[in-house]
Amino acid sequence: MYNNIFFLIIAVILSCLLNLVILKIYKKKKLIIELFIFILIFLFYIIFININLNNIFEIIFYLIIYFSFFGVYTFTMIMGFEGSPSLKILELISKKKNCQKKNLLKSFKKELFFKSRFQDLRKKKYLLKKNHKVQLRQKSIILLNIILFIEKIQNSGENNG
Amino acid sequence: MDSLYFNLIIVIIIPSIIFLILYFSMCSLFKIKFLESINLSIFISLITFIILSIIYSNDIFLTIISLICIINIFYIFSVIIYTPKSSIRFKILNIIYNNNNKISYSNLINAYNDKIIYYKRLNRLIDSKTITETKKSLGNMNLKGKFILFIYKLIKYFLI
Repeated sequence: MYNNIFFLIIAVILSCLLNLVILKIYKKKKLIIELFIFILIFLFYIIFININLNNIFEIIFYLIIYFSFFGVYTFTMIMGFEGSPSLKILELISKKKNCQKKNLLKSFKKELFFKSRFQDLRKKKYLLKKNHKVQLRQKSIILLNIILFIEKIQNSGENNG
Repeated sequence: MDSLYFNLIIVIIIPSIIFLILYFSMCSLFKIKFLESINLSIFISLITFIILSIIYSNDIFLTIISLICIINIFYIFSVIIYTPKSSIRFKILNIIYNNNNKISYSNLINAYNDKIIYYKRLNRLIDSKTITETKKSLGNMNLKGKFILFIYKLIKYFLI
């Protein structure tokens, strides 16, 4: 039992490392590839520990633990890979001691957060830019309605973004 | 042995569901702020986890592993819940949606741009006490901020 947990931890580390190597080589973060690698290594793990397939609850237990790490990996890597305005501010503050808000803004603006996100939305066909007009595509309307519903439940105001 | 794993699955799933129910009820019914709702939900769910572990689990090692798992689940839920609130992409889509699905690029950039993003995020960091602000300058970063920055730099180091 303890051996299985030990090898599960090894499998998690192996999946993360393999994903990191792929990310470093291809410089592109694809959720489907990350998921595929995690699933593949989990299947190898199940074969390796030679578990009786009748022990279904034991397998589900390992599956929950393993994929909780997948979630942590994928969400944490987005932060590092895409960058975040808040992290950029923290990074700038750590570099420049006792800086003023306005001075920090000059350095912050070099990153072009709005433009990069806007271009990404265009590239992924969430919106359409035609004759200086910007328009939503159907798939973003569906997505937005789902998010707005969740936002409504959370009772959050206009101060998003 | 199989019943032990079944119990452990229940010990993980029930606090996770409680976390979600508590978070959404705190936000919608009691109008508690995001961060406070998250912290309170995690706290109550962890207590539930401990109580259930004492009742249903007799293996300390597997309980610790389950605890790590549930912390992972809380982290994942918090990120998913927070994404629409913080995402620049969702905000852009939201602005267009609120303007009858069509807006000129110049109006969009007036409504939302890097300067607005900067001040929103900066105020959020000050409100959450991640950084402190004096009359003259932006000052110290708390331990949470330093830890997040460390993880961020570590990831960047691996990727570059």
